[in-house]
Amino acid sequence: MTDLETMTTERGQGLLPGGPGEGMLVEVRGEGELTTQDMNLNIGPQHPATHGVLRVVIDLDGEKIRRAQPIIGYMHRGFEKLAEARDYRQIMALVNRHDWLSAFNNELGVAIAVERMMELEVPDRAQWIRVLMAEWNRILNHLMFVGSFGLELGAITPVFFAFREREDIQHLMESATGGRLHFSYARVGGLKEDLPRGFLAASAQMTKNVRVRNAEYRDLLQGNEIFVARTRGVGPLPRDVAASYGVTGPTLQATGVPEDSRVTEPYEKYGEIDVKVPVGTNGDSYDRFMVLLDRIDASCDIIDHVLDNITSGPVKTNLPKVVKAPEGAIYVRTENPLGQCGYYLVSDGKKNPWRLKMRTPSFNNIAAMPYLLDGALLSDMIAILGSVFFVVGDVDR
Amino acid sequence: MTPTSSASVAAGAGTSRMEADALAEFLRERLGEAVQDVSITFGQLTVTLEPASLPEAARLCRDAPELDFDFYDHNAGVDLGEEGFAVVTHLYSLSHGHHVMLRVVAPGGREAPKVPTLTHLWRGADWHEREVYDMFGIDFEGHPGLLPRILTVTNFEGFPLRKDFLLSTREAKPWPGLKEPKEVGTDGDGSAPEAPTAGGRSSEEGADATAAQAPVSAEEKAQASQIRAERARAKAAAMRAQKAAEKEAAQAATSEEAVAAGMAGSDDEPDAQAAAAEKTTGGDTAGEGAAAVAAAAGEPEPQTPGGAADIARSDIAKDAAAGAVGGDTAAGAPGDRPGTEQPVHDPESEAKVGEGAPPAPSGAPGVEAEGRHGGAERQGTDAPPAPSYGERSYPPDEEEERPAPSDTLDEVIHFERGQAPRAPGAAPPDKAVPDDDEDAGPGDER
Amino acid sequence: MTIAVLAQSLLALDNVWLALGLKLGLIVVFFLTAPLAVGYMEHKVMAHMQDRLGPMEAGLGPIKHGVGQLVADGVKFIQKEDIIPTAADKWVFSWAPAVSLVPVLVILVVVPFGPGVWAENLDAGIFFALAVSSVGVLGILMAAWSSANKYSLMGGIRAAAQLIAYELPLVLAAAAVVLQAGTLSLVGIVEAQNEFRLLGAIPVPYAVPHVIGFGMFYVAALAELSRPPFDMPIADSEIIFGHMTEYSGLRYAFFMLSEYAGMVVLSALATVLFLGGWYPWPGVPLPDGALGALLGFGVTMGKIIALTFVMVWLRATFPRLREDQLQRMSWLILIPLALLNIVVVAVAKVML
Repeated sequence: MTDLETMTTERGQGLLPGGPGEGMLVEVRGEGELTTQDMNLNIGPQHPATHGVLRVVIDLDGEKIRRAQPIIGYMHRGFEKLAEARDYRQIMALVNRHDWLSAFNNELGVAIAVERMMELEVPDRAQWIRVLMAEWNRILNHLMFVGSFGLELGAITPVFFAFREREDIQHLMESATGGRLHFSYARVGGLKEDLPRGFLAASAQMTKNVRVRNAEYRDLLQGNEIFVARTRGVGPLPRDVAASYGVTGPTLQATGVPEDSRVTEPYEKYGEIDVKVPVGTNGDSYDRFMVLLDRIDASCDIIDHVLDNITSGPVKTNLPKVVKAPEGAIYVRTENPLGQCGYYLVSDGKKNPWRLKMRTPSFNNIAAMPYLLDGALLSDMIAILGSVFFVVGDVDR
Repeated sequence: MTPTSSASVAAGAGTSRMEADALAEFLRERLGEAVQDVSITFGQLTVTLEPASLPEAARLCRDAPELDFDFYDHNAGVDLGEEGFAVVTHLYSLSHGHHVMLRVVAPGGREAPKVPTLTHLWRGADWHEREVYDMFGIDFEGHPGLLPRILTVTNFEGFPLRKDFLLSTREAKPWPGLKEPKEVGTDGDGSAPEAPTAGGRSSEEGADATAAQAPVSAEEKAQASQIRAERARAKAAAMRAQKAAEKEAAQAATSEEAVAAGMAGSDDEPDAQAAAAEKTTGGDTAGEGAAAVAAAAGEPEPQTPGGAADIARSDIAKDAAAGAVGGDTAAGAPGDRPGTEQPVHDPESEAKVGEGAPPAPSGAPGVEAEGRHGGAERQGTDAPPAPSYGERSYPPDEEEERPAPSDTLDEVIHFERGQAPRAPGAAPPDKAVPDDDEDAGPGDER
Repeated sequence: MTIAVLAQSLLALDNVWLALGLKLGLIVVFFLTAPLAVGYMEHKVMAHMQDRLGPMEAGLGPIKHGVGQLVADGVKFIQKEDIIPTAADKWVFSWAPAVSLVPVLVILVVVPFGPGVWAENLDAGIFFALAVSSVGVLGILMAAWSSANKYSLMGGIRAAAQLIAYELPLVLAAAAVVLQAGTLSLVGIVEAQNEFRLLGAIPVPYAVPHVIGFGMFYVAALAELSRPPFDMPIADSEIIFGHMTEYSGLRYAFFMLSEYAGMVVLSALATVLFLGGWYPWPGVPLPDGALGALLGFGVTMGKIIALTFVMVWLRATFPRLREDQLQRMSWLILIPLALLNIVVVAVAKVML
């Protein structure tokens, strides 16, 4: 080990500008005339494969990654500070946007947090509809990643098929909520308004379509030898490392842990639904991807269950003129498509939260990146980045 | 071969899950004096620990087989005001399914808060502690490297989530929601406009349409909206009458002032007003915004009902039946400042005063940052009220209910230059008058 | 009709230089138009495979449906600013596209498209073609190295390894055909295929006895062109565009042209070597004269289009192979198979 190496810390701070050891890490190996040097490559922030503005500084020996450090914060918008300046009903619009692919699930989390603090009862029908919308949002999110994962590996066709489904589902969601991406449908105490006529029938039809297409995706990708060769054994994540990082969602389930908030701490009507939690075996990219496809099927099942059991009734509750949560703190964790999203809400009795900490799934998932990328090839990095599903807005808030 | 299997786990995984009070007992037993406080709210356990004992307590949590908190969920900083900062670490056990929150109040107060690190126990603590440092400035002793800052830019000054770090938009204009609903619009009408929040409508609806919460037919909806529209129109008419009366009085006052100050002198009027403004606000050139902050942060009682009612009325006339955001009141409405008696804008008086006179300084330019753009100031006196929510058809059938686009744009332009917007239908100001050179008003932030 | 007539009259011309000049002119025309056709086919075929329509608006005259898309692209590239990065090695950077493009053009000189429809019938035709195609590799390396861009460098490194690795299966598969036909001349190979009878009786093109060789040649051709699933050097989701990252305007158009033209050229070689050239089927004669030439040209073009269609189909279907898997496939699977192929062919030719 050269002196330079000992100067840099475990996290490879030598790579980062502004860090204590600024400058390029050069590890010179070999003696005599043939010396090699590691190449310091910057993936991002603008890069087709990083799902947004994520920057990964890697140290390459040929094609092998010796050290990788993700740098986040390019999309930091200060949501937590903004939430302190808005009242409990306005933060709904904020939380739509940190994980924009799972907008309704985020809203749901915040609404539940506020409702629990205020001890509000949400009407039955509202709960069923919330579950329905949350599952549709989950399918939307998963379809996005099904498509983009193939795209990053070079399979340019599944993304079009996935987006075709997404278009149909977004059309459905738009008919109920008015939005295709940011739904703003949940409210404290229920929902904004009831579903339009024909929504439930359309939902039933759409689940059938999604199931059929999901089988196609399985054929297209699971049955493709090159895809399997690119993803099997790539980026394995052991269970204890995943727990130590706080990784959740499909990434954790792929490691073999059936941890799902809908099952362990049911909220809304999930307690009455049999939620299937698919698990993988060794947490590699292939498993993560397969868990995703299975989750789509599981969500279709949940939607069917909701369609069979939905009740009628009101969807809103009477809110006081001023919504004030009593003093105290609560932490609510929901199973979002990307993982478990938690909101730690501290209230001082006023109209706006004192502190809203957003525990976003992607933040913890990306924290595991240095572990996953260590020793991987550059092409594997793409497979790993694509399979640890994340959204940069979620990482940075 | 599919590697996935479905595991339908029953709720409350693991028979060895400990309830919150059992956990509290266990921790008190093992940690003894280190536990300063135990609180169980909403079924969740928060244990306040002595800061120095945090690593040991965390190690116990991780390693004790009954606890087995192997999952590091997150780490949150909380600003406690005078006390300093607290750091709440949330741990979870994958095998048992129980949670705990370890809370620590950082010693060192607000100047130099320090908390021992937990990175040697869980890998996830690394980034979370970096984030807490970035947001609050809490130093984690023993952390391998808190810098470079994780979320903000590297040369960022300050720690954003501290309460003394002010949001710049809030500095320019305070949060409209600081005003409670009942403080707006003292028109004797029982149903004052609701709080300016998105959910305000639901309470109104909930109050008067309890029966309508079941899916209603289209006719009932139309009827209800019809009723609302009529009520709004009546309210608007009442307000108009009141405002007309007030305007008479105001016009009498300002015309006297103008005559006294001399109409030719273009600077006198704003000077007089600016002087008045300075006297009351302490001469801040940020002017309206700071005044509004001061006013609103203190007791935001409407000093001149006319001023507040101006805005309220125009808003009502425009949007009340639509149930949209109500009165945008705290936003630097000059009426709020004690001691000044200016109307929000007064196109008639402006026209009266003459072309040479600069326009009266209107509300702070920051007003339009949130809420309506310029429309808040627009006198809705002559325009018919907007169609109610239920009646509106897209595209709207009646064209004349919307102002022509150019009018609105001119209004915005004039407004942004700090001038008063003219009433819809009024002639645009003469371009020969160099508007830009004039003192654009105290609210000029450019 | 005019082409065939022209071709015949060219052969009958006395002035060798004029004839050569005209033939080269025709080659250049073919070289410029065939990639347009193939590119258009790729747009539309890939689009329909992906459940969408492809270019529909750009058209030539009354015909829309995107036929003018590539023409429009060409015009766009021509009018773009010529950017050379400051840190790049200017001379090498400027000439790399040309070095990549010209060999493809030159190969067309020896490829026969019909009876009498060729520019030059070299006795060492296939040898010449394969040797010249190796020069194209140099263009890619020049582009990658001179770009002063780490991503280009990565692309260049991968390309160097890949293209060298896949030269061997290409050459060995062709060598087996040469062994079978007994001549290096491409025209001779086509004629030999026409007379070939499997087991003495069945007329089949060489693709049947050399089925492994055909597969290998095709796969190696895909790898030589950096077409998916072997487009690791260009891998556009990882290293943006590999060696072409820093190129813009006409230089970039040259690279694209060399890729599509390469598709045509290598498909043409595969047709000649394995699919029977201009004969619809071995043993089926073509009419004499101009009509025969024309039909022969049509048959060749049909086979070329079929092969490029399969190339496009593979692009739409497969993700890309990682470069170590790629290398493993070449060195550990294809080359041993190719050698085995040669041995089997040699034995069979002697014994049967």
